[in-house]
Amino acid sequence: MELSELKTAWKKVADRSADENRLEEDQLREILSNRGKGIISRLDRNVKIGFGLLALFILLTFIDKLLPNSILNNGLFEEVPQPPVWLLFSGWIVSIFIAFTFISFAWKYYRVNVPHLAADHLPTALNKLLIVLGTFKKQFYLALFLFIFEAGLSFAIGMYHGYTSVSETLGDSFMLVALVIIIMLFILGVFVAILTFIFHLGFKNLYGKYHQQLKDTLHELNELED
Amino acid sequence: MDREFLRKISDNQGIIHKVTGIYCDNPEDRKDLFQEILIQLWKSYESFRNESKFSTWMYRVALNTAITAFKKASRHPLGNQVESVNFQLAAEEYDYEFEENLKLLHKAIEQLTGVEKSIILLYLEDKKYEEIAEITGITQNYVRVKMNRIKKKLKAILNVDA
Repeated sequence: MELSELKTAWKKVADRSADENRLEEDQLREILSNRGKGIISRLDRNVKIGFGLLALFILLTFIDKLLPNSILNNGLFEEVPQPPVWLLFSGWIVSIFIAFTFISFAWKYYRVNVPHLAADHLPTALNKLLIVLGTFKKQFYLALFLFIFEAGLSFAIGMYHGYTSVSETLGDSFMLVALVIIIMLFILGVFVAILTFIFHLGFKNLYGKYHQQLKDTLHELNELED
Repeated sequence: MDREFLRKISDNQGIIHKVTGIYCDNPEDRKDLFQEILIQLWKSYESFRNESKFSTWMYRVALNTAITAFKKASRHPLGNQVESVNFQLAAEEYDYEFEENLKLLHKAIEQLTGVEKSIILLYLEDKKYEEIAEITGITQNYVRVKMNRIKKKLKAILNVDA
């Protein structure tokens, strides 16, 4: 079969199929009012979801950092434990860094103006979008590491404080101290693993998988020009 | 919604149907891709500056969207279209040779990459190299080189299948 025959076959089928599937303006309007399922539509939507998650994070941060400890203590200790100032300070720094990471990503994302660029020159659009997503990916995992480190540190200090508060009652047997440390480390490990998993999964579903898919497309386009 | 936009899209919607037809293998996927292309056309409509023909701009947005839209999903183009065409030609027009050619065409295109599909679609639509270059954003020379490679690839596939 020759390529000219392919053309004939194509013309006969494609025009007929296009006519058969023809939609009226009202149907087109209705389609436009629904949500898109492609990568670009999903990314656009996920950036908006990211803003919602950021708002939630800021709210939780304010509750965690500004709510008086006496409310959280709920009569557990006679003396309300106060976290060290440096820990409070580092907590704020990490929270600000996390917020900055997302806001800077969203700002760069909207500046790239993906739909417009995709209409102009796909390789350029993909290159710019991949740089933005790639930078966000690195910053996100750095922020995640700092967040988990800070949260783990707060947890360990809190546990230590709790232990010293009750150690006089429990005595200082080596076995007991070792048991407390093992339990602490276990809880800390589970806590870190769960947090890492949740954040990693969230990032992957919202942005990470699209980063890889767009990377593959760009690779294909670059191969074309080699 | 801009009435002018809808009118232009309505007049040229065959382009979207052809693109979805070459990239998707079932009606559900075609519907999703059609919607995605329509959304991207609407979003980027303000960037259309009449520097090129509306149809050229539409091809560009539609193909770029199709290439990126559903990268990971395994979409074998045209599979079901064969059946629908079978149905369309079932009565007075049924032509066994034509039907075989069509199946071969589908099989061959199925084995091309997303970017190659966009070039072969424009070739099948009788676009000149100049316009293919304008739509795909690659130089005319690259289009020529790539077109030769695709033709060889298709010939090889068709000869094996034949």
